[in-house]
Amino acid sequence: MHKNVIIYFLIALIICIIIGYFIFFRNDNVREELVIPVIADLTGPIAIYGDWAVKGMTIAIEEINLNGGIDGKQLVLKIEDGQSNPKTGVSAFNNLKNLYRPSSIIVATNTSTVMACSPIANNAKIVLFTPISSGSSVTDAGDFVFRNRVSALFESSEMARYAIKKFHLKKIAAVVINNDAGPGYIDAFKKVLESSGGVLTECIFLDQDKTDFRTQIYKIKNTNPEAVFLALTVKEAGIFIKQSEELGFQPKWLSITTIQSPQIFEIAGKASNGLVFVSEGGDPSNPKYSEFVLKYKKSFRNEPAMNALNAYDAIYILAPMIAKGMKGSEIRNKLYSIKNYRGIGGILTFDKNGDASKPLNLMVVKNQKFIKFE
Amino acid sequence: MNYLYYIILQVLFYIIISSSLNLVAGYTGVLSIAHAAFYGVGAYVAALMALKINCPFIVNLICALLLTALLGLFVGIPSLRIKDESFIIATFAFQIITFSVMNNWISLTSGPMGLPGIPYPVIFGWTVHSQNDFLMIAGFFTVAVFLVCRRIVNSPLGRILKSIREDEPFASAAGKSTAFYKVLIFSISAGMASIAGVLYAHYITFIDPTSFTVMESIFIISIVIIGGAGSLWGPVVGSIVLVSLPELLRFVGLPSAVAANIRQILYGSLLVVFMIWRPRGLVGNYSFYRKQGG
Repeated sequence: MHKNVIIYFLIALIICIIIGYFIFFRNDNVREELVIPVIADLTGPIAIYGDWAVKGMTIAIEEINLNGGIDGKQLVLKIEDGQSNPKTGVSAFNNLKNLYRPSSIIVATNTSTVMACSPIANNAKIVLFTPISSGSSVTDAGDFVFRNRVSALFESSEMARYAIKKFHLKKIAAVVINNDAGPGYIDAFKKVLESSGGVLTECIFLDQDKTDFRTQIYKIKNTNPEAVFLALTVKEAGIFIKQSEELGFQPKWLSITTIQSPQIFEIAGKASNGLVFVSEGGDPSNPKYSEFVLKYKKSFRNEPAMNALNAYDAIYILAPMIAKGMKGSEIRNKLYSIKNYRGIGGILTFDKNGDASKPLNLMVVKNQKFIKFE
Repeated sequence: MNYLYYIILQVLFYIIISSSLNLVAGYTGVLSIAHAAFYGVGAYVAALMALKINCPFIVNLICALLLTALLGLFVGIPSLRIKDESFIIATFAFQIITFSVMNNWISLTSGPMGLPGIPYPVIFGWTVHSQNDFLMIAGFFTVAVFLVCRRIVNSPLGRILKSIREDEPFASAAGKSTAFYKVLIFSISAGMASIAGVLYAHYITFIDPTSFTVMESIFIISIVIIGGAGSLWGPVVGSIVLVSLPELLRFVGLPSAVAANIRQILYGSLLVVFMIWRPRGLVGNYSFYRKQGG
């Protein structure tokens, strides 16, 4: 019984701390700093994408702060981990919303978390801006949801068009990641392919975090495709290509922006040469792009992936609006009015659904480097 | 205050699920790793009925409850004839199968893309929309589930369940059909877990399979064991502690780059400390260790 009293006391103490926090410390950020609230998947199946995004945002923040901040205010990222889990993401979103009363929150998470947070953002008129979520369902997530990562639907359709018109491929198999974005990729790819007279010989969904794809490779090989479309994360794509080479299966590989990371070379090695993919690209003609790549390499000893570029742009797009004290609805209107914004992640325009409209580049891997397909 | 409301709602949802598991694990002594599956089935039934055939909330709730209870019956009948560790594995298998169905039956569940746009509940013309409204509804169902659990525990059925937990051969020898009572309580428990799923689906308005994984089942078991198995207040205490603990750790002020990982390490370590300190849980009467140790 005595122990129970202590236990009840501890529980009461925890409750008091929570309530006390909200009563006394809720508005503790009244300093001369500008808070950019961020939810990023730092753990879970897509942690690598969240990590890239945070790195990109960190560089943007450092640059702005080195130049004196915005209107004399230093920028600070307040990052919550979404854990690649919608329930945790919603909790993090509510927490940030409550702590900082933001007009916008950057959500660098998977599509499920974006979808789970969207109703809260729309109801509270907070702009939810995602630099990494590509799932097709985000298009209809609401008026306050924006992204500068292109939709899965757009990317896949473009790749299918290139496959038919540029490479004259007719028989294509597809391997798609079985996550919240995967089905969107294959639906769009199949639609364009079949409407142009092509045939999808096989479509396989791969679970994330699997490492042995030999059975699936044999299954695809038996359908004799001319090419295989990989809508996978970079890790699974690398392993798939590597294991295919080991089994003597070397079709033309087609893919999307997700594989544009040096990790593909580390995993697939020379087998990745010849891989063709559509990419938001990054804009090498933009001097800020080269500058960013240098800073990124210096800070993190690695080449930046696309998510880092988009996350960097997200800060440059949103920070000035936040600094002006714009409300969520004003930021929304401003974002809709953006046309041909020249970021390092490409030339960006938001369409009527808040989706990114960017010209996609056709890229190829040559000597383990990403170059534009000529 | 939205954040605080959200945490309280989470606590209420978990009280419902863990109280239902407590009937099986705490009072009957049969550990199940399938409760996230029942929770998920409830959520999916409600979401699909609301989205595809525009059914009202109350109908969704009743259908989800009955269907999940029926599912519990089908799972329980073959599984509860096997004992202890084998039963845990059987429920684990059911959990995996349910997750796979949610994740791969794309034409029905939209697979990993999830089901967005689930409408807010409308109860006799009253749209439950604000956090306060949800708090009232969730509070009502939590109290209802708690009272039902108390009624069961204090009834002759509860005494039979406890006798099965303490000494199943003896209960059998006393003329009780232990398999029948185990299946019955498993089915009731499954139905109760679905209530939390229905509320969750209508509150978040988006569900996908990642919310109903085996890790979620393990979290629910943790609530029961740490809160205290075999005690009505155990799941309540466990839910408050385990839901609010990671939220408190958000405010520890760790550097953002490492906060996520350190928070998880701290959380895990605290769980281990609790287990060593008090294996019967915070307010529990029953320890699984004691049973396993003979």
